[in-house]
Amino acid sequence: MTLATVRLGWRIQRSELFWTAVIAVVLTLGLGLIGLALQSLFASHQPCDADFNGSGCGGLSALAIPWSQYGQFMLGLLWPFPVVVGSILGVAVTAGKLERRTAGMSWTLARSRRRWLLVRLLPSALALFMILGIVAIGAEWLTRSRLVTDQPGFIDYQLRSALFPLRGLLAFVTGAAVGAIIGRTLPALLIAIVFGTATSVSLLNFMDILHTQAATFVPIAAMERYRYDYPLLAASGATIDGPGGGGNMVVPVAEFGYWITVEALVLGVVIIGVGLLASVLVNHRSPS
Amino acid sequence: MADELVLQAEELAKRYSRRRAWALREIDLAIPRGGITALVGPNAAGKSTLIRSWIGFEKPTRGRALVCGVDAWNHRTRALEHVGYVSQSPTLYDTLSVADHLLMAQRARASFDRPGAERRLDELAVPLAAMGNELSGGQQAQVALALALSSRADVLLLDEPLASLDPLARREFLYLLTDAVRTEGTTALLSSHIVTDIEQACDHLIVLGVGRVVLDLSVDEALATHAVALDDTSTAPIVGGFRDTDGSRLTVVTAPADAPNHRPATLEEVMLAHLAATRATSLSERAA
Amino acid sequence: MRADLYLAWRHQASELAMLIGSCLAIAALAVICALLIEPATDAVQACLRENSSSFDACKAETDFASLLAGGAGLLVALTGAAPFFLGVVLGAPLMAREIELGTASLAWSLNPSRVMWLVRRVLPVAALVVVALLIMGQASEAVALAASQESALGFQSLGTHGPLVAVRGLAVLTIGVGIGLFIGRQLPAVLLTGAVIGVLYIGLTLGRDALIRAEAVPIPAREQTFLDSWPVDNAYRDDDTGEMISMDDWYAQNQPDDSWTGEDPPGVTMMSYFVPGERYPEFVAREAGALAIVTVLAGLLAVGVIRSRRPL
Repeated sequence: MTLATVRLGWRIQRSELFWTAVIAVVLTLGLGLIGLALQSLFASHQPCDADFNGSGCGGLSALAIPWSQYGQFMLGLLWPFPVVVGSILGVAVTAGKLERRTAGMSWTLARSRRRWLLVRLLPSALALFMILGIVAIGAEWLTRSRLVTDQPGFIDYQLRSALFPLRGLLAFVTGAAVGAIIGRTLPALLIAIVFGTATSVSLLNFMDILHTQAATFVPIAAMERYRYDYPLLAASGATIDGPGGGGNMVVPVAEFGYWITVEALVLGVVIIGVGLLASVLVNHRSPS
Repeated sequence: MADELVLQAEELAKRYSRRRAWALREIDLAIPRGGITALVGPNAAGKSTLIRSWIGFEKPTRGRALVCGVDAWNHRTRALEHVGYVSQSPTLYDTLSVADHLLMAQRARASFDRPGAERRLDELAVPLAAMGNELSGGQQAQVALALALSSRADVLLLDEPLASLDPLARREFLYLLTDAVRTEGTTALLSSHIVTDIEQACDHLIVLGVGRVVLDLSVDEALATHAVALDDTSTAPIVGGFRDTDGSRLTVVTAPADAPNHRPATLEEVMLAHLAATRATSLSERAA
Repeated sequence: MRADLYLAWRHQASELAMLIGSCLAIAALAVICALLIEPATDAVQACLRENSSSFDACKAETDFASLLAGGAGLLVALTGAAPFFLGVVLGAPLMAREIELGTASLAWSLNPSRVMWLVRRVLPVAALVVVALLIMGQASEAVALAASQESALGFQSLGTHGPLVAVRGLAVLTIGVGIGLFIGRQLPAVLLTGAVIGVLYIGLTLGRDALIRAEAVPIPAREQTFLDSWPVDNAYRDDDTGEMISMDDWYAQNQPDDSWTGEDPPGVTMMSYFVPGERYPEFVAREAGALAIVTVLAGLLAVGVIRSRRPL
């Protein structure tokens, strides 16, 4: 992989990468501005926490609630974002070439189709990871501002950590695989988004199972109002009934880093698996 | 008189961007109604750009292109009503069948002769139910030609339409073209490199070189005014020289075909001489 | 028109089948959900009455009712998102594909008027999208009403039901067509249209919120209903003089020691500024009007671009 190869990969997909970067920057700015507005509101109305408890909260709820709603809306937009942009970039690599009938020329010029696919995927994957990483930083900033804490724990962690760009990469290789089968851009994009969403949801449920097995019981009294020190249950935030009632089964926030690593590894394995599948599909596909 | 001229170019010039060379320079042409005109030139001479100017696809940088006296860019709708066009690489819709293409043309032009188009395609064994991407390159060209011919346009602009056709198909198409010209008074401009086709069907010859018109004569006049010098004693103006297939050098000059120490040039030799001259001009311009 | 509809379907059969089919499936699910919600709620109440309000004994009924309520929320949310997704995914590639794959040369040489061709290509797709979204919007309205157990829907569900869903979809589709014509490549056009729609949505939302803020009136906070808009500000009203005092000023003057208990301090009534729910249809009409203008402008942009564009 030489610099010339990276440059070529950029030139071929520069339009898609450029607009993805533009959207990411706009999203990040939006997240940042809303976070800034919330921080400024809470700072000028002390003491007051994210639940609007505190003598300084008078009048704040009416001002902060709309901003908090904007923040939740922006975070809501982030959920489908990596799947959609990853699918678009992945589909462009395979279905785009097949539909424009340039695959024949590329595949006869390349030493092997697998190598061609790797050379095409890697630069875009790197760029996508960086772009989504920036958005994840914005999401972290907004979540901390919205919850008035430096330790949001597991709250929306899929949007804030390295898992956000990894989900984008998963959608990227899925798009490439689907594009190699379908061979038409738009139908491939729709199917890739469906598959990407299904894969994301499946992984979420899988992590739910792992979290459930590792969760420990904490009584409600011990949780008090510092529930952000004790994260929400599992990846989806579902509550699991504990023995004897009056508490929750939770994954301690101290294990946050460990669980991020586990999920990243799981995602990594799936990404490599789907990538290999894409290379097999490209290898066997007729270019016309 | 203006209404006798179906295709005109008035000081037509086209440059795609300031960084690029002029594709057309000061083109002045007037093609009368009736007859088939051949448009010949080396690659990148500007043939397609000229044809596309008449169909309103290219905005002239200077001058104008007229179809039946109507400015093709500023009054495109009126001009296009007179034109049938086949592009250099006709692209059919992958998701439409041949019959759907005929339906599309019927919706576009009230004068479209659908039964005639179906008859032509049936004679050529092009299945009406076949999808665009199921046809071979030659069959796609046949469909595009059928669409153009059946549009019953006053002017047919054909940009290398015969390149993908087999010899029999080419002969049949030329017959259809000459028949349309003779019986319906259609005017055709045929861009082609195949000399035998030009000799067989065309009565006027335009040679383009480096974006300029280097020859604009009837075929008879071209043959009457060009000769091959048999030795080095010729003082007639040299048009151009090239190597014959046996390695000998032929020089074509502007002289009566029956001049002493000369022999009549064939149409191919006239064309080759002018093409050689334009190549030399292009090389010297680039060197400068 | 039938021939144009047929050709439009043939051009994008798989995409239209997937998307319009999904819309109709969501609408069907919403209708089913709406029909089941009331019986499910009645079943829960009947079970609780029979079992002395024991939720454990009525777990199956409660779970089913919760499932329907959750499903209703999801279906309404999907309906809110549908016009944007449909408009972007169908609108942006509609023209961009023609240019990218080179079929625009064939089409624009056959059709003397590019504008008429554009209308013939876009109108059938727009009609399908509008019809699908109208059906979705009505189904969403039915399920939202069933889930809320109210007689009408207000500001809280703006844009997720009714004809406004179709108006939004048409606006997004038209913008997508214009951008697709300009960009000339499918996937970049989808991305750019998504970005433009996102920015427009945020801008229009902020504008609408500013309008709500400007037209909000003070009403006792306790009298707020779910039809009304969200409160844009709070204030205290002096019960004797009727004078309005901002929350910040009141707290600065009175400096209470205790955290806010939720009860009105003596002598004042908490007022919330919001737009009453009766004005909801007016706001919907305003948004529809604004979107109609956006649609017309986007259409004019598309016409302008197609007239001067090279087919490549």
